[in-house]
Amino acid sequence: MTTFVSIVAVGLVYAVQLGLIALSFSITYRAIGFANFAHVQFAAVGATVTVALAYVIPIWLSVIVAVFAAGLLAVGADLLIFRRIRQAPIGTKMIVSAGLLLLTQAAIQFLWGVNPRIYAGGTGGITIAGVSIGYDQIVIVGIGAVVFAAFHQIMKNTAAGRLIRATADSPELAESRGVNSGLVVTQVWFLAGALAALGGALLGIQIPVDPLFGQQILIPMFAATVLGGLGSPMGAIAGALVLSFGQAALLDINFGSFLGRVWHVPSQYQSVLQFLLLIAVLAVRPWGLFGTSRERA
Amino acid sequence: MGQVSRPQDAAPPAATDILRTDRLTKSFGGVSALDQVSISVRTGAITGIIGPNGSGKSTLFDVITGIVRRDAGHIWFDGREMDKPTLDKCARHGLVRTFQVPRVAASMTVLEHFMLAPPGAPGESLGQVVAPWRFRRIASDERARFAGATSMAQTLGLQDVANERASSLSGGQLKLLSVGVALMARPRLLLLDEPVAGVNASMIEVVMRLLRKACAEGVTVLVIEHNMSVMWELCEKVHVLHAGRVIAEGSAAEMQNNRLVIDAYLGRST
Amino acid sequence: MGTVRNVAGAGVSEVAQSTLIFVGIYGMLALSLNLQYGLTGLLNFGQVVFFAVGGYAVAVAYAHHLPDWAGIAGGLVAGAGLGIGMALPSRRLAEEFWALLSLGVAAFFIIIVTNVSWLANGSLGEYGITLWPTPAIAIVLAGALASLTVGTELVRKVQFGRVIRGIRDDALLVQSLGRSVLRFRTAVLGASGAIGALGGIVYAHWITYINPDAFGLSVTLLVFTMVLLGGSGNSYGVLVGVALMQLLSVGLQYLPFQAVTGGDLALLQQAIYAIALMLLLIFRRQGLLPERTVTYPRAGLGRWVRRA
Repeated sequence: MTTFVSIVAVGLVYAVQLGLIALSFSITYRAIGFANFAHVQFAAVGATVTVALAYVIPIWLSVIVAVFAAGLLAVGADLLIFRRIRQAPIGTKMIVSAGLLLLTQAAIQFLWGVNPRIYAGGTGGITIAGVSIGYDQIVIVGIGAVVFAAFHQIMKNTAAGRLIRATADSPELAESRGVNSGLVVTQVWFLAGALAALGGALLGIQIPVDPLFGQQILIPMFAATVLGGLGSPMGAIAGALVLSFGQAALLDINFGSFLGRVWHVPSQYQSVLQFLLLIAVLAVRPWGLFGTSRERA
Repeated sequence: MGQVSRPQDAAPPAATDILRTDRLTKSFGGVSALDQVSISVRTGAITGIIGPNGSGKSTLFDVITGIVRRDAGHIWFDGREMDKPTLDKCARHGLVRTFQVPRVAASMTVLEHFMLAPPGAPGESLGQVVAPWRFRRIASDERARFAGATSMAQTLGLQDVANERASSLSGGQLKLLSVGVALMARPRLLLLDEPVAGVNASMIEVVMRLLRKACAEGVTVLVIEHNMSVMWELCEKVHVLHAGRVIAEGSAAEMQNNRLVIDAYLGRST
Repeated sequence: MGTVRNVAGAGVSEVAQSTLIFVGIYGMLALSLNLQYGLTGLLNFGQVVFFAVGGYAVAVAYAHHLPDWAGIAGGLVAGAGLGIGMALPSRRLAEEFWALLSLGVAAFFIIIVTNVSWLANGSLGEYGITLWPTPAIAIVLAGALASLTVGTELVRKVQFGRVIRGIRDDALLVQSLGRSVLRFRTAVLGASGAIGALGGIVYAHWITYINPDAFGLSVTLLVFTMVLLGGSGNSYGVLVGVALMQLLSVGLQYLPFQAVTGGDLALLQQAIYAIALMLLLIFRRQGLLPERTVTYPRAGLGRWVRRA
């Protein structure tokens, strides 16, 4: 029982953190039509700004500031860069996004320095079945549940949501119906940047944050979104859940028990597991759980 | 414009068909694109496919060449059933197609396209290319390709743009280019998707002459077109597609006066 | 350390020598990427992995007291093999998925060499690799660069080059002409993998230590910048791009930027490279020496081709 609760706790928390980043990535993928490497930097901004400001203002306020700042940065990235290369081939767009990733990483390193910092505002917690669960973990899962539910509600059932989906699928068609697709795209970018930053902030209050935060999130984010299906926001959440629980379970298993010893997969191999999941999905079903298959030339 | 004798109007005797499809079916997300399409293409003849826009003509080509997987039905090419056709495998067996929107390599010139097309080059293996003792063979292969390419460019009236990149060609020139490329690929069966759309009248004559010449040399042609006068002149037999179904087939003369065909084009049928 | 003599016998300063050698090493990486991306349209975001494989083959051989040739041969074979392995998924995967996969492969390799310490000391790195004499390095690099550049330009103009450029521009067209796209991609990736590995092998014998930090995504991006700056698809252009970026890199060390930024030069370099890359792609995708159209008859091919 202890194992089960522990896995659920760890799994849910990481699923929320990664899920927010993966979800926001899926949204932009649908809107701009390519995989934007620099997306992880919105999460990085979320983490770094949160942790930096947490020294001077209450944590909840620094999260809000970070989320807002990232939203604005996302809009800026679209207006300054991505709009100019809208007609370019996919390869060009991907290279540009990789360049943006490294540029922002250099900027973060310039402001932050190289040393990792960890948020030390640890709170108390409760104990379930012998597993201690921190209040921060509960808050994270709570925020995640609320945000995902709200997102689902907005996208499916409101006019604004339908508008966003229609514009994402076909900007020309939307324009012909009188929609200011430019404005809608801007709003989508803000939303995506903000959600990614929220995920990054929630992750950043738990693990050490350094300028490589963004790059470290690349593989898990791709694994989750590819597993769920690249254009599918709900798929991204599903992918994050599967990845997170799978990882938690796998890291918990005592592989040495057959030999009467104790051997767990070392935690640095976490990224190996994520990468293996990514190649497995790409090998078997590249369009993921909820995506549509694209016949490859 | 010389008068070339028309192919017989009478139905040909049962001969070997180089291509035959049996009840091909394909739907995309609930919309039926092909519905039990059965056609046969006589070896060495020019057969046509006509039909209003959206009747499934290009999809038929896609399914035959494996770009799109069929839902049901059979395809026989050259007597053998094609279970899982792929575009390159088809081409290697002599089934070459063109596309409704011409596919070209934007950065390559007209001559390069014609030099690329013919199969079986010694210089297509990297190992052979970097081996100095192979250079003479590769050089003579290049010479042969160049000769063939200039000749085709001349025939198609593209000699003035022979060294121009495909990206700077007009729509009609692109059509001519893709027809030329397909012909240079030494096909046994040529699937042409609207080969003369957007091509000027004098070049249309040239293309028709080229196709009849290829036919005389043993190439079978299956052509989709909207240009009716070309079809009636060129084709021994015509299939008419409408909403994914073959609604009529027969000689050109028969189809010209067929009620169903006329209705389909005028939008009167369901 | 005073002046050192180069192959030609004239005295040059150590900085110039080091710059030239790095031009040579990066030249290998850039020609390798040009073959994949510039000529065949393969978006290899994991380009650095070939570099790493070469370097680490040497490091592992050194760490386990294997003869030097084993590291060299192993590196070349591993580079080619890895390239061939990466080609296989390209059949089923759309362009962007394959790009992600290549990124993952590079990240994966670095994770492995970092965490499996018995290979080559993990994150600490392997020190003390044999230093090759400068003339030897210069000859190897110059010879390789010259033959690869000339060779690539020749290959570009014959049938193999036409097929791979066709694959770059429209893979479906090439398929409709009966060629197996997979076979050609495999050949290109295998060759490029070996070329990149050669760069890594020389690098190991020049710097004499190998650690994981040298093989990050920023190296791949730097190589992309060099290729795009010089002219994607044009081997001579690519070399120009490499030379210019190296000059920029060295030049930055002498300009008073440090007073302005107050710190890390590497950081500034990274930022400048990234900005250069983005500007290039937005405003001049073809680079300084755009890929030249292959026209006939050509003076150079006069021996081969009858004049029209």
